[in-house]
Amino acid sequence: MNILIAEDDDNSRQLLVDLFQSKGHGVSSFDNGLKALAYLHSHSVDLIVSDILMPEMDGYGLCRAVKQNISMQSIPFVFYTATYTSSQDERFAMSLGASAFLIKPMDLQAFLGVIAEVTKSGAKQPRVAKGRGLYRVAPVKFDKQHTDIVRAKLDKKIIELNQERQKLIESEARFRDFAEASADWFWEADSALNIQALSGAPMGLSVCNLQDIAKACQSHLADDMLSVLQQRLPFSDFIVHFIDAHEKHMYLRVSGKPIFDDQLKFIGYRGVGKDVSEMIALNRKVEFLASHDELTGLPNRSVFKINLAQALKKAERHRQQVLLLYFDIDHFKLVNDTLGHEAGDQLLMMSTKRIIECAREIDVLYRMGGDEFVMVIESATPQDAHRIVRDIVKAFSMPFEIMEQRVYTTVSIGVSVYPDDATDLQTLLTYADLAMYRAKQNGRNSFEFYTPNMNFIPKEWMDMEHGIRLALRKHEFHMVYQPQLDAERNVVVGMEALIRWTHPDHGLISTIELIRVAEQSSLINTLDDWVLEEVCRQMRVWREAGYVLPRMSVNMSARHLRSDNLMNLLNNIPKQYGIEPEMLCIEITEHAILEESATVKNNMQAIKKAGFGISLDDFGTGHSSLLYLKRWAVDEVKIERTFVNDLVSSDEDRAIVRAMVALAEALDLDLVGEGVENQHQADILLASGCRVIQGYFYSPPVPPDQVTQWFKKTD
Amino acid sequence: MRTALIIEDNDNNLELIRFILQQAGYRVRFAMTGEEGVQQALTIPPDFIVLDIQLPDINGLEVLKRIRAHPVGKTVPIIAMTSYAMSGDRERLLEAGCTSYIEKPIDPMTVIAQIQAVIGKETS
Repeated sequence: MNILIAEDDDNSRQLLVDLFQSKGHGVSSFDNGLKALAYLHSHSVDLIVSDILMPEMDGYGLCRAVKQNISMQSIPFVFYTATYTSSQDERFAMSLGASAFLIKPMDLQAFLGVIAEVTKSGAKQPRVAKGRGLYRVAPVKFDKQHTDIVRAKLDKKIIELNQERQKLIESEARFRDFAEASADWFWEADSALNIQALSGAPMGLSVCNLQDIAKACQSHLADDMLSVLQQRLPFSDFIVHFIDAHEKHMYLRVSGKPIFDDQLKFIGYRGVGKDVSEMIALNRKVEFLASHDELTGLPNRSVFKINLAQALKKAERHRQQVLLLYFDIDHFKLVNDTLGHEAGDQLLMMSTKRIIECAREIDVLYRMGGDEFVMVIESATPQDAHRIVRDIVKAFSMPFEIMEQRVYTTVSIGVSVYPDDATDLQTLLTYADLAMYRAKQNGRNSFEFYTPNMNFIPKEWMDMEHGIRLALRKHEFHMVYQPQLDAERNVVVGMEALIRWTHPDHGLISTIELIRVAEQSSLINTLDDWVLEEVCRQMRVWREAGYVLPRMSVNMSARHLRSDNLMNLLNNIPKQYGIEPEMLCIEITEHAILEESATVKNNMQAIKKAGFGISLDDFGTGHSSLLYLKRWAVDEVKIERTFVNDLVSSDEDRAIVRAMVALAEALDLDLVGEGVENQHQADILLASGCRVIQGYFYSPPVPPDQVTQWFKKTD
Repeated sequence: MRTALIIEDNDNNLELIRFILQQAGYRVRFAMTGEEGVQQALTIPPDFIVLDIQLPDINGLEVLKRIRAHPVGKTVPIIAMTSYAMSGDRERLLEAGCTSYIEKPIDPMTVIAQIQAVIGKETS
């Protein structure tokens, strides 16, 4: 038996549910009459047990509705109440067609007994509603007392209704105010989902169907919205895109809920909508600004990272290559500094245009900041890529016309290839950047593909100038000293001071690299200054500690040698520390004097005149003639280490060294053999006549506190 | 309006030449080192260059050579300023591609005529 229970008190309802279920009945329970009624419209039930006092629809209302409905009126209806317990209540209940009127609490056995009787008799002779109950039915006499009570109740009800009506009027007015104040418009759709707009709907929408809206939905998948509509579910804040009659893009935000009639039959949707075109446009603008460079309109670094990551995934699936091009506009800073930022901006815009014109539609250019751009080239053959890169370089051969001036600028491009060079985004970017840097070093106006041997300059030092300045400030440089021995007499005759850079994160950095990069700018002079001062300071410390010092060789860059300021430096710093010029030997490379420059010549003569020694490093690599050296005031040459390296195996190198020794003797030049690593090399040098030897064979360059073992103490 | 590039490291000289050229109706840019001068001359070519021969980094002769070695700088008139007249220097300058030279100290009364003799009068 299927039993419906309508009872608003949770405990009572649960008690009844448990009771009936324990007897094997199917039970549906509701906390008010309206819900129960809705259920009855679509389900078949054998018995209704209802409380009287319930919200929304009370038991009387439920009973009346059931008994007036042809398809339900035969269902036995039992009242089970604790509040309305008077005989008048009972009579009224029975007059509505109830089968029984039971008062809580009631003995369960008795209760079940009544239920059984009601349903049995109900089954035997279906009830025809005549306002008569079956059980404890007595003919109803509408005596005066009863009439008065009913009237009093009615009066009370009327007052209540009036009050409620008043509240409704107020409430409606309130909602109208809200509605009028809001920018939303209201719509209703019929059961076929055709929209009938009620207020202020934009043109074009007033005649459409909710299914069209679903298809134009942007915030959700069209299928999702269609399924929401089919299931008659409410929806909220769906963003819909339309193009109106004036070709204007419109965005609407639509919310709606299904509506049902009294029979709970679906009759349509009702909802609100709002034109959010401006908001969406603004949103898009904000998004665009956040992801694009305002000047060139190109997507920026953040978009680049997202897009490249996607491109790499795609390339992995299709086993394709992706090329990353890193651009830098040569001399951009010069244009910016000379002609102003406006000109710099124009140069960037014009460069962007030229670069894009060389690429294919699908190649996207990103501005990474400053004058640095990156292009991602997908699904291209290596030939295509080469053509694009070459075309871009070529596109810069014509001058730009900026502020009535011709501007000749070039572009340096570095290229890295996925998956050949690297497979992750950051490494690819670093490699392309490295290759670009190399292209710049190779004289700009060119491109370089990444090769693994570019790796020794880590990305972090790309901006070496910055790195070196920082290192100077943070005292990351220190000096080491390598003794030069007179191998015949076995005494230290000199020391070479060498700079070392210990980076806190990257450890010891190649000195060759450091110097090579520092020499690109005047920073090398700053570095030289620091070295000279540090060496003089250290010499003074040693001297004060009572050591007898040998001559100290200090390296000076080619760039510094061309500077007017060099002598100023040499005349002042050693003096400050009480170091005599004779104690110092200025070491320069052969390349530094190859450039026939008056300044260099003047400087060298001044160095000599001031009393310093001059030593020529890496002798033998620069093809300078020894005779020439004399004129340039050199008084010591150091045999380049590559000759020393091969002394043992190469007859030719042995001959060269012997010739150098002979010439040095003839010109009265001192000679030092560099890079000596073993006894064999030392022996050959000695036998050839080169007595002074420097190299790991005797000692590697060591920190100041270890150098002192080579010094004698003053007595 | 034609543009002059002055390559000169001495503030006083630079100010003087700049003033004279501006008075004569030229737009003036300047560089205070040879390196910078070469880059400017080749990146944003002026209509003519006034070049001091004694510069702190690379000397004027080198500047001259580098400008002339580049396609952009092949034909631009270059007027060198030499501080003392050494005939050998002058020959080397002319050989290296210098268009003309003027002697220091500069005479404000005659220098513009000397320059205009080389590059023509400014008409504007």
